[in-house]
Amino acid sequence: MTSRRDPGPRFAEEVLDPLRRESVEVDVAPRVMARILAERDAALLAASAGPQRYAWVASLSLAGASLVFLISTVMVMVTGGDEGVQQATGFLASGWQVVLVLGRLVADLAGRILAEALPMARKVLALLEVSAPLLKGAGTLAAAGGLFSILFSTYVFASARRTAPRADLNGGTR
Amino acid sequence: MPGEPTDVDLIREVLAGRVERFEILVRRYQRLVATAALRMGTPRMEIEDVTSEVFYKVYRSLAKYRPEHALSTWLYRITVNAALDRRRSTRHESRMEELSPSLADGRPGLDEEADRKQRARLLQEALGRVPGHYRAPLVLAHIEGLPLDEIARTLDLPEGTVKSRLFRARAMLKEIIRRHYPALAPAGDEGDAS
Repeated sequence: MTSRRDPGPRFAEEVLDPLRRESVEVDVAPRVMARILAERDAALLAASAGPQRYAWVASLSLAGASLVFLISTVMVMVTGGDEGVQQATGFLASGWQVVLVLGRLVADLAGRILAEALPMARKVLALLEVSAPLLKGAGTLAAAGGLFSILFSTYVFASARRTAPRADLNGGTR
Repeated sequence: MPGEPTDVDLIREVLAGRVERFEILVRRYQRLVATAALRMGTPRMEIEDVTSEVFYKVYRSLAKYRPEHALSTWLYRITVNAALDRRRSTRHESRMEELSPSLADGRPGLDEEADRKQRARLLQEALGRVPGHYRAPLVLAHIEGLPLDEIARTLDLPEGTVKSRLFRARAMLKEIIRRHYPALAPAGDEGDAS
């Protein structure tokens, strides 16, 4: 849109005068208040104890009562010398014995393996201690060789650039 | 009127939990908000929606209100933004095809009785062609009659920016009237309308 110079406030006042005299009568108060109050009530309801909270409390109470009932039943059976409980106790004791024996076997096996491997590891360690100065010398020598190789390559590359033929724009060499 | 609670008192009460006191504020300012929305180009059938939306927004952000500025300034700001948003979303920008040819082009032939209403309607159309960020200062300055500093506060802009936008908005309005609504040109401005 092309705009020209400002026609001034007087122009605007004069042109917009009919709109200045226009006004609107509305009554939105009931609508606004209904919305606000509904929102407040919803917030209050959410904050108060709802049916879901009661359901949670009831479930937890039932679970607690069930646990107490189970423990007391088991206690009565144990103290009353119930045959099923005796069998279960015997089974648990046997199982425990089996676990103990298996544990001993595993520990024994691990001990033997260690006894065999330890002298060998000691020998390897001693060998490493003896050969340490030699390894250090070899490492230093390798590093020096690497450095020398880099320097030599740099020298060769620089010489090659000085003596290399140059390509001209027509594809030939000069 | 003596005994009437001030805006700040009412806001404090609402924030303290007496939500029903907000109704007094709504009744006090609903005309101002509705009229400002209309002047910002909101179609009449949507005025109630925009007005109630403005008050709902005001209620939701009441805690952010700063008493050092007039409540009306804040209401203008929310109304201007709501009206512009509404126009953006529903694309109520002026449409010439809605106008009959006699309204669109001719000063002569307008029914005298309906002249004022038609002029107002044409003006709404013309204002609708001014981009929103230029229209807002134009409406606030020359229709609502707010001083420059209050417009700057309302639109959250520096006074210099408001001034330059006003210059540009007036120039745009004049150009729009010259091109599309010559019937609206002021009497002394007729030479320009050709």
